[in-house]
Amino acid sequence: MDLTIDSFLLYGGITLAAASALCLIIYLCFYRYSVNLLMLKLESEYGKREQHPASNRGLSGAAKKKGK
Amino acid sequence: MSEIIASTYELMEKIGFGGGGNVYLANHLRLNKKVVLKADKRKLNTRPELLRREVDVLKNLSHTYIPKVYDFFVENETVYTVMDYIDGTSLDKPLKNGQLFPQAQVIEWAKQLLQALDYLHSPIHGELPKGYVHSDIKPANIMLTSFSTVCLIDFNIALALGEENVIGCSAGYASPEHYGLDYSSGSDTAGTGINGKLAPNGDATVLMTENGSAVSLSSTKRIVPDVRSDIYSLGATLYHLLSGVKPARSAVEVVPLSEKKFSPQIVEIISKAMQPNPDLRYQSAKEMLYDLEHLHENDPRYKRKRKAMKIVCACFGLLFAAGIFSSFTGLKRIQARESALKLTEYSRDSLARGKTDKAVEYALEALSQKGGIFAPAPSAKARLALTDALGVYNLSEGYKPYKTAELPSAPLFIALSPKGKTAACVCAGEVILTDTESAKIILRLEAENSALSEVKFLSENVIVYAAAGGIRAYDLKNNSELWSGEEVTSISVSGEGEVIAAVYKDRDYAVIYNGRTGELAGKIDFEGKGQSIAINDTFADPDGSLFALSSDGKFLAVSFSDGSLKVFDTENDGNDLDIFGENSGFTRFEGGFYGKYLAFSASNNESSAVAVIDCEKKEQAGGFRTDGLFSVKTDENGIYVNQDNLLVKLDPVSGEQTALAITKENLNEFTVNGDFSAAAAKNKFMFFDKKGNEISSYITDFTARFLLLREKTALVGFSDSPVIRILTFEDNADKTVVRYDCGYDYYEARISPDGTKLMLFSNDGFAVYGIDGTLICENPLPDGNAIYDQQYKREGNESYLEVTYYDGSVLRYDGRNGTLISEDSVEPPEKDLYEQFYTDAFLIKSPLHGTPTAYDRKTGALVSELEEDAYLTYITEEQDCIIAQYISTDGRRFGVLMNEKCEKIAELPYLCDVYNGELYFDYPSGAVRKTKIYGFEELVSMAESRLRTN
Repeated sequence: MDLTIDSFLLYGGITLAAASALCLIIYLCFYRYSVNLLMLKLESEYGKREQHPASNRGLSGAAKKKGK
Repeated sequence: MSEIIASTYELMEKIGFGGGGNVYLANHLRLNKKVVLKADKRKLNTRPELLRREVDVLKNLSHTYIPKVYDFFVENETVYTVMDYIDGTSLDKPLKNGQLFPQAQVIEWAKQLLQALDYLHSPIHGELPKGYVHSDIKPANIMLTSFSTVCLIDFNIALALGEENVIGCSAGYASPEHYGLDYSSGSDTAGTGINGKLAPNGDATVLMTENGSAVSLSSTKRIVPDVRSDIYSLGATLYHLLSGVKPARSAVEVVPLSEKKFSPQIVEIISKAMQPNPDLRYQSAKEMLYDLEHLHENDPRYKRKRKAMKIVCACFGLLFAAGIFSSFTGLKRIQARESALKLTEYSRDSLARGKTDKAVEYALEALSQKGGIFAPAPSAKARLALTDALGVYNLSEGYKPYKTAELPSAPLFIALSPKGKTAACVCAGEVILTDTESAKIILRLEAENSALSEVKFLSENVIVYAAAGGIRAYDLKNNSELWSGEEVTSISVSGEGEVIAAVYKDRDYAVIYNGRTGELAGKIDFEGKGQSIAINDTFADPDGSLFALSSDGKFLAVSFSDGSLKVFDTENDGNDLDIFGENSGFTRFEGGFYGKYLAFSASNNESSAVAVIDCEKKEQAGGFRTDGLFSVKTDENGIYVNQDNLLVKLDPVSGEQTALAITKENLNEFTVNGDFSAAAAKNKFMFFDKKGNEISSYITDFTARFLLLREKTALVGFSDSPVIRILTFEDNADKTVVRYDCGYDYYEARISPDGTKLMLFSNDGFAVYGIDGTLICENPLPDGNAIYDQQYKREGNESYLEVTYYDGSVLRYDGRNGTLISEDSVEPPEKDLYEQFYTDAFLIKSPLHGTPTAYDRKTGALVSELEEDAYLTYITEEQDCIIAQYISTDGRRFGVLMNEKCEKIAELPYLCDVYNGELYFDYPSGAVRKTKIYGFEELVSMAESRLRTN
């Protein structure tokens, strides 16, 4: 009986870990897909997404050094 | 028109007006570049700083979305400002046409404007930290270029940060601060109206001069437009661009954009930018720009997805971690269980090999797991191994494994001292003395390097042995040589050690010594004959020759290599006796003296002859010749003969044979000592009581060649192993309850409640014994074949045997004296009905034929199957254990101690009764012994104590 419990812990644990990892991977793939779809929609609402937002565009180099 | 201004600029066309003048598109003649000329006809002496304001702001600025100023001059009383030409249109124009702009586009423009504002608001290079506030942001002041970018223009009324003079504002786009309204938190004038009139609605810039209808600021506080005012104006501009509706002039009356038409985030950003309370707006362009640049990440839908993703990942992560932890736990537990199982096997194996200390050690290690999540609780098998190793429930009398000792090499000859305290072993060229109590080697003596070398004990502490160079008597206690003599190999000693006969290999004479003094008492001439030895006697078989001295030292029997056997009279030369002459055909001789009788076996590969010779009368007392091999040994108590699986004691006078041992296997070696005998078969040795009952047996890797019994010590040696096994005799007298005549035939034994009477009973009858072994009564039972069941019952201090017959009649006999108490009649019992037993937790069914099974009383589920090949007779629950009593198919009674899970934790051989928390064992030798039930902690403590002691 105890051996059954231990075997259950071992193999059940492996199964659970594998299944959860697999489900997580599948979910992340689905998430990625849905996020991409959402991003397309957001881009239609907000425009292109800023990859490298510039907060000080146009300042000269000297101004950058002395500026706040 | 092609008017040239300042000899540099060629006016091309008028493109607008405002701020007191016209705006022209011009061509820089030298640079051939389009520029904008803003002509201001206001008089120079009228607030010249107002005329220069835009130039002063723009001259040091350089930004993509802010036009650059190139020149400022006066010509023909007109102030000209030269600046970048923005090829595009102001945003107010398409708005007037009712054009609405896509949200994404507006956001892009907003970002550009905010970048420009951020630049504008930030400190100017080289000067004290101060920026500029545009203060008039509105669609009309935003140019849309051909590249779809925007440019912020018209800095006429721009303020330096901190400047207090508000010189203009555009209705709908101007912040409350432009009107002197202060909605900031804690302001006394928050929410109050201004005094005086507001400029009329419209997009035209409203100028307020100091002399004209000036704004009457709050009497309690002056609020100055700052960067947040530009934020408000930008927000209002975006509001208009998106909705197509100009926001209300009053900030508190602005209707928020619809979240159905526009993204909630955008609505929120614009609402925040247009907060009446400047403290609640974005505090900087950068802040607002940040929000616009992170619209995607901050979108509620995206946030919800991310949140859900995090939750799901966390859940799956937890499940994964739980799975890993579970598998790790299971693995650890299985490993721990396997480790415990292995240790249990090692323990059993060690016990089988006689290494009881090792067996205890391994069993203890198997039980050392404390339990817990990574280690299962100590297994029942480990506990069983421990009880077996400790032997706490083996109360039988007999020789039991004690220790093992390891010699330098496999022994060639072994002798045991009379009291069994010292073992002398001949190994290659050495005599090794070993203390049997400690199993430690105490002395090593150099010996004749021959397989024929022997050692004998003259007394408990004196040995005589074939030393290198000659026979030697040695005092072990004093560690000193007593005497020495000629070189010898084989030695024979008379009964008390007074006379010693010795011969060297195949020499043609033997030497007689006085055992006490070592004085040469004589020589026995073999007339040119010699004993049979191998060419290389180092590996010879010393057992094939007979060289024996009688107990009184008078006769010496010697076998020779030519097949002859002769008895020499050591005292009288002429009195020798030839038993076999030359070429007898026998190659192997074995035997010795029992008193005046020489008993021997002579054999070849095909047949044997066994004979008993009265050496005094010189006549044969008995004998026979047969096919097969016989082995004969003698001691001071008798003559012993073995053939195949039978060992008997032979009476030399009557020829009567008394069986000492009957085994399943053929015996290779045997020895007898008093009431016990030991015999060795292939990979096994056994002990027997005087009635020939096997009392114990042990499995070995090798076949025992040496078996010795002396008082309470038994020694087993092997020709293939340097390990000798030491066993000690245990009689368990302290646990003996009663001794009785073991000849009485019975099934069961029971103790009375007061422990003073023993009742033995079977279907044929019963007997009652007192605790001193006296027979109180012995009665037959009527019609034994009709008996259905017998139960020994205890009620208080009374006990009785209840006999139930198939016809329903019930007889009860007093357990103290056997008298018939009562005679009843009940309903006849069902035949073949299986018995049922109940404990607190289990229902145990015992069919007449089949394996008893245990079921959980609550759930009815099968828990375990109990002993096979045995009939369950009783179940008793004691403390937290269950005791099952059985009868095996061969009629042997035994018990099993089980834990609360019905797992076996101890074997109880010969268990006959359980009463008052004690176990009673009934042994074939006619003894009933008892012991308590040992708890787990107690067993562990015993084991630890034992290991510490050893």
